[in-house]
Amino acid sequence: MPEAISALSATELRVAYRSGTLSVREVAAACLKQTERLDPRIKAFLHIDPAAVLSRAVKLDERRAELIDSPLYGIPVALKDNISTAGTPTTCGSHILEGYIPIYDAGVVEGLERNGALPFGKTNLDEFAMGSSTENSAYGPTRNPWDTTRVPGGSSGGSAAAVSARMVPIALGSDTGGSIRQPAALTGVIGLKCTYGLISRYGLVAYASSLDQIGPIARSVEDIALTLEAIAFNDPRDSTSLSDPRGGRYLNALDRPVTGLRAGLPAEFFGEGIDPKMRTSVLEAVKTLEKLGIKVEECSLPSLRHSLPAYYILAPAEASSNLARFDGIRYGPSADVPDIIEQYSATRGSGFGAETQRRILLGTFVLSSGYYDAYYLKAMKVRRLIRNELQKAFEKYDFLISPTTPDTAFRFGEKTADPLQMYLSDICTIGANLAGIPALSIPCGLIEGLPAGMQLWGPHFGERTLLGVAKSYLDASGCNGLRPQILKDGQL
Amino acid sequence: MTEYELVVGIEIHAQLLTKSKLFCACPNRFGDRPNANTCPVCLAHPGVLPVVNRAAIEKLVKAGLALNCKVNEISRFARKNYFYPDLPKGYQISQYEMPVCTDGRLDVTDSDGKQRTIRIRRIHIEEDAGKLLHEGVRSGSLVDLNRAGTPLMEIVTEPDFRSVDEVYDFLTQLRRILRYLKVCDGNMEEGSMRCEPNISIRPRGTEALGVKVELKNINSFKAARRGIEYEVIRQTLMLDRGEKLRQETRGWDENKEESFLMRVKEDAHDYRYFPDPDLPPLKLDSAWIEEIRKTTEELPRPRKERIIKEYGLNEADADVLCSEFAIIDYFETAARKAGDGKLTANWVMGEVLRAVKAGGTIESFPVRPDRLAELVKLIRTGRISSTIAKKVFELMLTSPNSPEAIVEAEGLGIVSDEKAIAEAVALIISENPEQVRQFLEGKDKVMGFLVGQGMKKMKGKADPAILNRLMKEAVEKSRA
Amino acid sequence: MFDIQKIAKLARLNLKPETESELSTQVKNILGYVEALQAVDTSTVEGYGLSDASPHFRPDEPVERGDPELRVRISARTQGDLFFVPKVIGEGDA
Repeated sequence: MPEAISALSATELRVAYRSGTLSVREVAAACLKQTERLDPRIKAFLHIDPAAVLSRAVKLDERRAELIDSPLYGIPVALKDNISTAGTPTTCGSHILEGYIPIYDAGVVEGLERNGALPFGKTNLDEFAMGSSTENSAYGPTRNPWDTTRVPGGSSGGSAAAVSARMVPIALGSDTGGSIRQPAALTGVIGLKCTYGLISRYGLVAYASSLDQIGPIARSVEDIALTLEAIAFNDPRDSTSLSDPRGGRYLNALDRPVTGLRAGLPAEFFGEGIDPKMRTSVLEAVKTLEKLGIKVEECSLPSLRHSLPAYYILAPAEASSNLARFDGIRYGPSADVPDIIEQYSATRGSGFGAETQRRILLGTFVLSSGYYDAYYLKAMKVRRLIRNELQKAFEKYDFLISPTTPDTAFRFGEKTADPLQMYLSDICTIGANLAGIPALSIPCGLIEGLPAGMQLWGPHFGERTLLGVAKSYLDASGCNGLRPQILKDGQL
Repeated sequence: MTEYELVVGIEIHAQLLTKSKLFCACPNRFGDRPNANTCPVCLAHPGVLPVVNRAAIEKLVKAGLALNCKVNEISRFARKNYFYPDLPKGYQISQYEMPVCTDGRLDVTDSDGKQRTIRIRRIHIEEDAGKLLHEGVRSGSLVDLNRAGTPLMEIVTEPDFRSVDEVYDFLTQLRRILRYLKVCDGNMEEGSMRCEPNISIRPRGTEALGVKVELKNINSFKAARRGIEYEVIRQTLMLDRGEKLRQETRGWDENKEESFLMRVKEDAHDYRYFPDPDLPPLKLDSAWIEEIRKTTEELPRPRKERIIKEYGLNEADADVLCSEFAIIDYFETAARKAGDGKLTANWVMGEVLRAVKAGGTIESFPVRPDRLAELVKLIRTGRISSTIAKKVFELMLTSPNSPEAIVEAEGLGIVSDEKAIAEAVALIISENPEQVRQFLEGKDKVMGFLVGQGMKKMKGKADPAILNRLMKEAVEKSRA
Repeated sequence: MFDIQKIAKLARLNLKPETESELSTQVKNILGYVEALQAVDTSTVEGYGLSDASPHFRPDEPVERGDPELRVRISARTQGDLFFVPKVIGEGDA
């Protein structure tokens, strides 16, 4: 039964490797088998090379003695397809990078390989990580393992679905406005967006540079901590990269007592725009936290209301500039026309999908002459306001609690007609990106058979607190390892 | 007819002499195979990020300090967005609102000797673009990105120039300063220093600025002069004819010696500048600035004053030596080793510069300063005469050997052997009875002739002191 | 105001004629939505830089990159060691 192996967490696999009951090759084969079985329906992966995965697995078995103590030895890790992998296609879910094969590895890929991980395929995403459903992928959407008529969320929908469907124990995603946490919540797994700078962005194809962060998606908090051990390092190639002043040691943080911690419940995330059932679900979880000895009280963060509009100025502005390099000259498909301006416009006009074009247009406009101050500069100031307000809240609270999403997974096409409706999916998650703080989404139960996610927000470099709370909560609540419908289907 | 006054401000782009590019470690070097000096970063592959070259910042600060600028403790990188095939990212990383240096100045001298201060508005750092090649390509252009991402500094002056001579003096001084600091080689012909004047005219005595023209494609000091002069005439004629001037960018055609329209202001691009989110603000704390100040090379003016004092030179000699940092560097290295500033100076200004002028540069001159110093030492210690030294110097131009070895091999050393000199003296006296008689009758000057003849006989190698003494003794003896 | 043709030209994007007006409406709607920010009082906000960190610096040590062919051949249109583009007329920093 391949699923029995592929459903193991990284932490469990480590035990099996130590005791010698499993080889990396067996694990790789099991994960490939599970993928082969389920991915035709889920479509989590854009690219996977089974032969390459197996041969790498064999090499890792050979290097067992050298790497066995590494945090991710022999652990299959799927990568969102906006993370550069030398020799393996990296499309960003876009036609404009069709056929592009990078010549260099991202910082996180080096971190994974240094720590013995087994890179396992590239996962689907909304084009250039712009979206909340993976419906914006040029290569077709990913389906939610809980209900294949519904979206898995996005933009890291492929990564979340692959973890949820037990194809891999861990996947990396990227989060610019909620793109790790929202799909994690919608597929019943755990997703962490770290403090801005904790994980190298070198090799992450930029959407909005000041907001983007790579992060792990997994089914257990231990696995999240293990991944951080491997990929959180100060990378000299990323000028915005930072060292964790607390020096890492994320695994140790899981055993920290949570009794006596103080948590805030910002009223803004429990009112209008949030489905009442979602509110109830999160408030139930809060009761569990209280039982664990955490002091929870209501608070207010009025500036957070401006997160979404600030985001939809800043992110498109940066995107319009970040995506200027896709011109078909040095890589990627190129329109064959005799005029240079036409070559640019035709290549980009046919290479980018609708949402990407929308954001490029929006971003180009807000930066253009005469509008910069009113839009960009104003949004930057509002961003500062939000950051200040959150910083102040963390003088009083060790962490904050909110839902991760306003609602559970929605159906395909439900929000594609009106971009603004889609944008509202990120209403609970964007604030953490604007403030550069960590936020973790963990499952907190099911609503009508679909997973609900609770989001824990921490101060800068507060990852350890969040991981500790999450661990205690999941152990106490029984929300560990929720199994999606498709796995049950498979057993029929 | 209205008399017009010239108003000019200039923008200078200078390539910084770093070993690697501004945001990646590719070599900052030209003349290589196309695209040899490129990597994912300067090719703008998806996902790459810039990391600032520390030396580029330090060179910029050196220039800023030399131009009396305020060095800002915090400055920012900004993106200048436009599409062009030589610009891989689709934006240039530059600085906009907060440059590294602001509020500088440099004094210039007009042709009539009047001094005026030119204010420098700002100096900022940015990356250069690649190169497009059009020749031999029928339907397109080719892109070489070896230059893409190399460091440039842009110096912007206020519109303070009132004459072409002031511009010329400014550029000359600036070039010299940048070369002294080893910040830029200042080669306008090769484009390592590019100058774009903003030129306008206004009725003399009025304050308001006229309509400016930005002039591009200036590839030499001469072109800067001609281009500005041309614009003054063109603009004056237009105004005299009652035509209106347009704000526009024009190019200078060096062959035709005229400017041509490139674009009018309405077509100006919308660069959509914004702070680069990939680069946090650049912090230059006072300790770092102080460290840079301490390691900054000596500037032309203080250096001249020092060498006058240190080597006992006069003002005129110092001017010649300080005209180029390569010359003064050459001189000082040689003078220190030779232990004689004055003598070394005479040799550098004389034989060395004469030989360099005949072809080549002082940097590639075959007689390196240490070999010149050895030659000067041979003269100082009396091993060879100045006349012989010139011969040795000639030989050094084609031989890698030390002057000592050349003297040895060619037998050019001074002859102090009294017997050999006495033989020569005896010969001279017997060949010149008339001159000997004149001397004995009291014509002292004739002694010089006799000694000269003796030296000639000895092929210039006789020890002059011994020759003098022996000649005198011999002549006196013939009196008896 | 938002002029889709002008902005699309600036962004070098050929839009599909059949979707252009819908796209324009959508962008205008989003601009209407973010307009809410104008009402936010930001008079007390000092600066807007986010990071208090300094950028990383690199020592000035060049690294030779070797054969350019490996980097050039991933392009769709090349000539020898060079990238090929349709005829470019005019200046760069245009």
